[in-house]
Amino acid sequence: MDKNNSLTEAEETAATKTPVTPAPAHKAVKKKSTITKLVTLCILLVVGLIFCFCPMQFGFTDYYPFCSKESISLGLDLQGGVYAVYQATDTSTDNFDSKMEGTRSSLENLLVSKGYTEATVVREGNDRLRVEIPDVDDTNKILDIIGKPAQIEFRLYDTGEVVLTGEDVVRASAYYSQNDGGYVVALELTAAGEDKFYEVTSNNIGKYMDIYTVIGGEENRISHATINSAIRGNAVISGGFNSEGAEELANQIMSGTFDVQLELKESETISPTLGDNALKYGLIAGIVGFVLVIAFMCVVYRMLGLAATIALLLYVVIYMFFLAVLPWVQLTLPGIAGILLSIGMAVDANIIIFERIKDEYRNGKSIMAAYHAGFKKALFAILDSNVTTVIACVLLLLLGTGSIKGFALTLLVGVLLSLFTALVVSRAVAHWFINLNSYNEKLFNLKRGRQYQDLQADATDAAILEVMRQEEEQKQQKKEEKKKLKELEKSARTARRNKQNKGGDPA
Amino acid sequence: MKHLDNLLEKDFHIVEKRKILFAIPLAIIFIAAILMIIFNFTLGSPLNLGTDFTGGYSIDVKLGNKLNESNYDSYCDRIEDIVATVVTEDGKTYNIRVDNMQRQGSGEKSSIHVKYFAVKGVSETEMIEDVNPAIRKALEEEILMIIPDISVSGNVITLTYGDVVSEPTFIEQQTAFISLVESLNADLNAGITFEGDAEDGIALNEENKKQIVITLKSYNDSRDVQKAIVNGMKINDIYSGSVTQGDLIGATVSTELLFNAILAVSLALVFMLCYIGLRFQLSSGLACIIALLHDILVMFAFMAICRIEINSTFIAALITILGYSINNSIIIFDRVRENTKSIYAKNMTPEQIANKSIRETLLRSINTTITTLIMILMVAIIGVTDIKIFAFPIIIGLLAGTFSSICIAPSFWALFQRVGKKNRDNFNIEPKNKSTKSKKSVTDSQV
Repeated sequence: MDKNNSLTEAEETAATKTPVTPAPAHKAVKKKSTITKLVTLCILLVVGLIFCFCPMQFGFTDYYPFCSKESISLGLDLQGGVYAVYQATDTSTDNFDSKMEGTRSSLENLLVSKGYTEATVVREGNDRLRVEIPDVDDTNKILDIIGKPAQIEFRLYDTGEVVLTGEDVVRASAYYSQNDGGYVVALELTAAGEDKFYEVTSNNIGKYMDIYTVIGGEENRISHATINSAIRGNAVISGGFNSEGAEELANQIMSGTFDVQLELKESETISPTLGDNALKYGLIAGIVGFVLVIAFMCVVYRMLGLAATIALLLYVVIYMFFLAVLPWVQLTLPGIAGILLSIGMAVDANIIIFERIKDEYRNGKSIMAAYHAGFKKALFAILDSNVTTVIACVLLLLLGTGSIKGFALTLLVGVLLSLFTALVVSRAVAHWFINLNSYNEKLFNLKRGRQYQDLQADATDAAILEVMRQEEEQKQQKKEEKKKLKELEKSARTARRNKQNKGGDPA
Repeated sequence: MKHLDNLLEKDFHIVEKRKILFAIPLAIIFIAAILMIIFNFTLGSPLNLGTDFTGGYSIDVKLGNKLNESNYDSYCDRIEDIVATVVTEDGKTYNIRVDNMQRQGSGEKSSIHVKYFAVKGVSETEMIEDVNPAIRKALEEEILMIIPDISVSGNVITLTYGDVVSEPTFIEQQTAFISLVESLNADLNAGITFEGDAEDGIALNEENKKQIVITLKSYNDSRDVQKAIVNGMKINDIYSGSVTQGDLIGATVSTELLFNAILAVSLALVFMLCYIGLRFQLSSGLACIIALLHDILVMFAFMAICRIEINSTFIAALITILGYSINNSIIIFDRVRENTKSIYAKNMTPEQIANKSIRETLLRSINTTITTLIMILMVAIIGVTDIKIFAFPIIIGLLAGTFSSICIAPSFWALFQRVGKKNRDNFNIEPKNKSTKSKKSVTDSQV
């Protein structure tokens, strides 16, 4: 392009009609402050990336980066462990909902008291409980504890009369007692239970009391004890236990304290190594894919692509930060793929905007004007398309269960973040880049359309308007010519028709 | 890049070609439907549903250090065989299908996690009380043994082991060979007589210490005798492994999950339709939904054709594509909205507007598809097996989504515009007489 005289055509023709302000010299912009802003952002980005990926040590404390097993809470399918799903057998009882809730918390307490502090028990649907215990090798041990929740009944041996049920027991625990010279099981009873227990024990001293478990009508005696005295308060079952026996009895009684009768529906063990590999290869796939995507963007959009790259890096950093910080986000196996995919999709908003900018530039705007118009016009397309995704995510969050909920949440975070990075970050960075160089279209891989080929990259509006006016005039002229041609044709046709009619007449 | 920019100036007349373009997905779905019918009769089920949906059980075969890359496949084959041909105590066979096998752990903790389907028409108690223990027993007996290769020449039988058999095993403090001889003596009575004493008849090949040579007085080559010998000579390897049973994978739970997901998705669709109806036109919304249904159907069709297992991660894949597809269609309808508002709209047919909008968004569609495909392809190439299973339907969904947003949604929109009186005022729609109209629109845009 001829720099000094790039507006030749426009100027020459325009000069005869309206005075046009000459094409601006490459306007000096605040380059210094732009560079400062850019450098600051880049430094922030590097710091963010370091916090995101590099494990560090501050003094004696280890710092785990956002993107590490320690920071992101992993789903059971990545962490390994055991899960089990229980279903209530009888949903028709009163206050079923609150009983279910009570069962949930007592199940959780039971697991925590056994040392599985990370165990979670969540309600699934209306009548199911899902127990997840991460990082466990021995499944059988856990299924021993929670495997067979049963109803529990305290009966008098002589009469078979049921005197107490699981509802009256708060806690059963096994411990070594010096007084009794062996392992014992201590019962902690509710207030009502204490009263009942006192009444029964005072009336039946010297007789036997049995404890039965009832699973689906099948009865099983788990304890047969003599009532030594009237017991007020906490009771202790002693005699001939070894540590395991006491433990087992306590567990059985505990699982009988659940308000709702449960049935094991589903259980599975997941190996942790699966997750290790998934994370490792997921990270590699992510890095390779990311590099390829930004390479693609930089080839197609050059400096604009670079702006998108910076926005995308920020996207990754913030996304990882949220994954690490939001407590209810769990990374699952499909979640890894979902996050990687979201990086590919997050570029989408940038691509929409950049294509718009290209369009605008092609149609004769200056680079800066094309940038402004491009963002403005692309805004609603981007908002509309993302709002629909947000609608889907929110509904899945509200109605979905378990892993689907988690997946929807990661998707939602990704969509909102990609909106932010595209509409704020990449907008700002693209602005700075154009500020630095608003006259070299090649830097942004922009091209003029055929009509505006000679227009300078930073042509003013007046010059553009002038060209557009001429365009319009030319179009009008062409239209008129066409009209004339058509009329001519029409008249010719009518003439021909007349002739034909005349010619047909003689027959 | 030049040829790419030229895309913008070329009109592909995609809307006019809708008959051909609609035929492609219809053909795919048709093929899938036929295959599903065939599969239903030959393989028993139209879709390859995983244990997540059908219900099933799992068993862990712990093999420890014995398991390595080279023998993993043969172990899997054997396990599959054993599970399929398992016989319970009362002599019943079930022909159980293995769903999948997974290698878990490493080193001493290596194990194979086997999931298998419940048998149709067999009650849960029967499965738990009879079938599962039988499978466990069979696996313990068959898999945890070291079985020698057998070769016979005349009355000399050579048994070859993979490992040295004369070293004392850690547990028994006695050479494996001696215990083998003892077990053979104990097991074999009838039909076999050794040359000389039993101890002389069985000899260790001293050179490699991996072969045992049995010399018999007379040997009639029958499979039964061979089997008896192999049975007697397999090394009990129970110390290096174990089989633990018995997780239960409930089908009911997953189907409820699926039901919930479908409910959520349908509600989401209704809400999206409302939103698109508000921001765009109802016809745009309907076209979006049609495009979305197309994507989902094509995904299912591919899963059916390739018989890839459908499990709960597939739901996640569907949700991802749901978002992506609607997104794609809306970008095009945004252009349609813009072009409809422009002053030239009244002189254009809906087809021309649709074509123009497709053309203007084509580069964006291509570029976005490329970036998303790059990421998911990396996942498919580099990721672990389970993620790969997730990636495949997504790749299909992405391609289908791009296709539908370019070739299907705008065409349907243009079709809808020809319905209703109000629309006729907005566009240059000539009353009826289709043949001339479609021809005209083609010539118009070529001028």
